[in-house]
Amino acid sequence: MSPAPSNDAAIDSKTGHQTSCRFPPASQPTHSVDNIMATTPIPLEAQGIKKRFGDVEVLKGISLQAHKGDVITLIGASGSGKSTFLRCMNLLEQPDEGELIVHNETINFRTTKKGREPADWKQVERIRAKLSMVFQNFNLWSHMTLLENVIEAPVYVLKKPKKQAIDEARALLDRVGLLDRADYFPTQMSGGQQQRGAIARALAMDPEVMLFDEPTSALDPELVGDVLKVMRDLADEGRTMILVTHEIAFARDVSSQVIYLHQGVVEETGVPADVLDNPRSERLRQFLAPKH
Amino acid sequence: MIDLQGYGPRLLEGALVTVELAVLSLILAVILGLLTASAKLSRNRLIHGIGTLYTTLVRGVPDLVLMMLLFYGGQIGINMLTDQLYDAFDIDIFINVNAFVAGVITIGLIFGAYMGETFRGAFQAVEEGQMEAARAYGMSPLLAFRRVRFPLMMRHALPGIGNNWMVLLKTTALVSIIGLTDMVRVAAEATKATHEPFMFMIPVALIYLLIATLSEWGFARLTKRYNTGFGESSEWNN
Repeated sequence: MSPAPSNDAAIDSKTGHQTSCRFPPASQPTHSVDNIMATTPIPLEAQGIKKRFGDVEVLKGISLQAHKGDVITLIGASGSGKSTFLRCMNLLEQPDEGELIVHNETINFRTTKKGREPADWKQVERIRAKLSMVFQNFNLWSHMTLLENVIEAPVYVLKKPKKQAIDEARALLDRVGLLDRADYFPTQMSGGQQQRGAIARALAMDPEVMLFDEPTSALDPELVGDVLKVMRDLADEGRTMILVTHEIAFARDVSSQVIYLHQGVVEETGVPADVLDNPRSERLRQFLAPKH
Repeated sequence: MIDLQGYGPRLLEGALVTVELAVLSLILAVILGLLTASAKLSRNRLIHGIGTLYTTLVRGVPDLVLMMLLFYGGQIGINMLTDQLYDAFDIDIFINVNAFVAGVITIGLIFGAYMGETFRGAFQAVEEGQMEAARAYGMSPLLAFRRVRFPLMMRHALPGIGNNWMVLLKTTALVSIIGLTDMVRVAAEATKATHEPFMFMIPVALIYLLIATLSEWGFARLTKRYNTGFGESSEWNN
């Protein structure tokens, strides 16, 4: 059994990216055992993701591995590429280079005149159904009640029986404290309620990985706490989560790994105690410093 | 009392033709409208061009002229085609352009262009985040359209559709010119025979009015349905 650090290096030499941000294996003992990794598929792996918008290279080769139960937090100033990176993972943005592997399935790409695009959109749809996303602006479907929002994708994408979907949805709404709002429309709910509803919608897919794109940034300060509480519960029960956030205190509490992005490059990564409490770079120190 | 002098049943038959013509034309117009809106929003320049050409052409030519062109021109075209079939393959067929079908196609074609504009605005009025969520949850483009884009855009499209429908309904009166026996034509014939225009034209006007009133009620109900979730947030509370 080869020690994990050399395994890390092997990945790097294969993809040619020195920006690999794998979780340091030493602090997560299970990951250093190769045969466990062979039997349990990694929920999500991104290798050397590059993305450019016009002349601007937004992502310059970023990698991560989300093992089961990992909570990976992406932090960085606006424009650092963290949201774009997250959106590349469920292909709402198409990465120009790099690989995505979800639960042992590698996403196929082809190159056309217009650029690189997924070769098989059916595959993309299947993969997306395994990666639930929670959006900054909630994006609950506004013509459906909260309950209808939660059962929509399970019924129409996963083809679950409606009755079963409703039962499960009610249990999830109860869990996020919104059972009494099941028949409300999104416009009839506060932002915090909408976001908790959106989390219930995400959970209803029983996803491999949950992707959170600045889930509390659009909320009034007094509503942030409820949403973070729900997310903390999810982290505690071992959900695999990748999260873009500005809530540093929350990131410190729940993350197994923090990635600090700067201009499309991983500047620092590691456990929160290292990255957030003992930042090596001056830039990260400044980023973390109180703003006022 | 009103004495329709035996024209009553024919007038009702004519009314039925009017309704059938209008409804079938509407269905065709909605389908063409959705296609046109998609074409005009397409990034493909050829498809975009076809959509633009269609709306420009149809909206710039009078309805009656288009109808004549399609009815008579269509017959000439088909005759030429069947002649060639006869010359080349000795196949002898005769196709008569049916006035009803020609009417549906012409009116559908005309209003498809107007619907296209209505739908284009409605397409764009749907918040991008709504479709993004549909994609992110694994919906195929067709499913996302059916479950998310369409119900959301209808809210914006319905006023325009209702307006187009009212105009379309009255445009059907033009088909009497290409020989279709709708209620206007029946009334015109009866007037000629009896020299009593009011006796027949007033019932016709009332029937149009009745259809229009029923439609308004129907559209009000549809509007209410597609507005669910967007109403006044009076129930808003924490």
